[in-house]
Amino acid sequence: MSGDYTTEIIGDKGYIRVGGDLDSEQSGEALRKAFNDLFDKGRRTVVLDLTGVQIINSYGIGKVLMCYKRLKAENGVLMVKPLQGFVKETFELLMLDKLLPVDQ
Amino acid sequence: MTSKPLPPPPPVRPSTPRVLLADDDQGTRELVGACVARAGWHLEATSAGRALVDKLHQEPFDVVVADLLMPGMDGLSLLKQIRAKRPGQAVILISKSGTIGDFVAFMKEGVLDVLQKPVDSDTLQRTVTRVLSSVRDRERALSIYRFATKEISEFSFSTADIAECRMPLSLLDRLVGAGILEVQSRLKLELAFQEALANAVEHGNLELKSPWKEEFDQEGIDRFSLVKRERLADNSYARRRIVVTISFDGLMLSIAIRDEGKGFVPHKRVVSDPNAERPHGRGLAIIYAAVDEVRYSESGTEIEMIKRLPG
Repeated sequence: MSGDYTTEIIGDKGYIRVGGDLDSEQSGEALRKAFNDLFDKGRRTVVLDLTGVQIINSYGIGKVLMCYKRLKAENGVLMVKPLQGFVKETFELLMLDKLLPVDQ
Repeated sequence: MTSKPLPPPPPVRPSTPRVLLADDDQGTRELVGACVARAGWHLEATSAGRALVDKLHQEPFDVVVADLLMPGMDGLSLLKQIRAKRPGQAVILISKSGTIGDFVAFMKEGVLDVLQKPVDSDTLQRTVTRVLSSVRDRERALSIYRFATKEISEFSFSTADIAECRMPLSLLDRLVGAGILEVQSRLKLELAFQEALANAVEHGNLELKSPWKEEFDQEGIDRFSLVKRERLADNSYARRRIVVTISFDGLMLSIAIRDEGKGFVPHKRVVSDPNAERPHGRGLAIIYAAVDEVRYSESGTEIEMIKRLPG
């Protein structure tokens, strides 16, 4: 289920609140669009709020990394809100917690 | 031949039904409380979704009765959190007229019934009684699974069919219900299965290449997604079969997936390099983290994932 994706700009940061699991082409596409919305508005620090996500698979992780690489190419930063549960465990397993700083 | 010792039984529920209520409206809490007291059930009540989830972490309840709209957490998020902790939890929603929205989505998350406010006490009692009865029947059916010694299921799909739908692993639900498999292990196995199935569909039958995920057109759409769409519409790819075989022998759970592609050699697990930024190749790490052993056929067209269960 792709759920709702909401974006918000606060200062120089863009926030994406992911409202459902990141485990399908549909959810990946929704994330891409939300990210592009912020990126096209010039935001180079983007924070992903994954607190509403229970399941993330390699498809969703791939999309997260795509966002990371696009920002990095322009000296930007992709951050995450503090992770929890299975998503936290998955990020640690794949060492993504060392790649994406936490926005407290 | 030595007999396998029985796994420990699932926790025995007390005979008095236990109801957990979450509603931020005091009037509703009082009404439900009075109804439950008349029926002789045990009730615990909270006024927030977060407190309800925390309570479920501490102890089980037969039925959860929850207001759909409470401050701080929308109904669907609440249901997902309930299901993550208690996959088979029976839930009754209370909603104001006209706010039920996507009823199908709620049913998929385990909601067994919806009551509209203002709640009628007779209707509430009948609904909770009916739900309690079905909960008991289900538990009796699941508990027998502790004595299961062998089960084999085989499914065969076309690539087009399986590419667009989610295949549930109902055996995992039965194993969790019988206390044989932990909830967290179930989640990991489900993910591992999805990863392996996606590999069989995308890299096996559709012959898609991972580097295509980093090639974009002018609209920002990656080549992998574009070619996938094209090949799903091409019968020479779309009709290739995927066969899923799930077997359980009391000590071991095996999930095998076979495709009709040209076969591919799996890459090494991506776990050692945190700076590996490529957006593909991590599915195998998820698979290996979920199971005890992974086997591949010589042709590279079949993967078997094995999880050993407590004996």
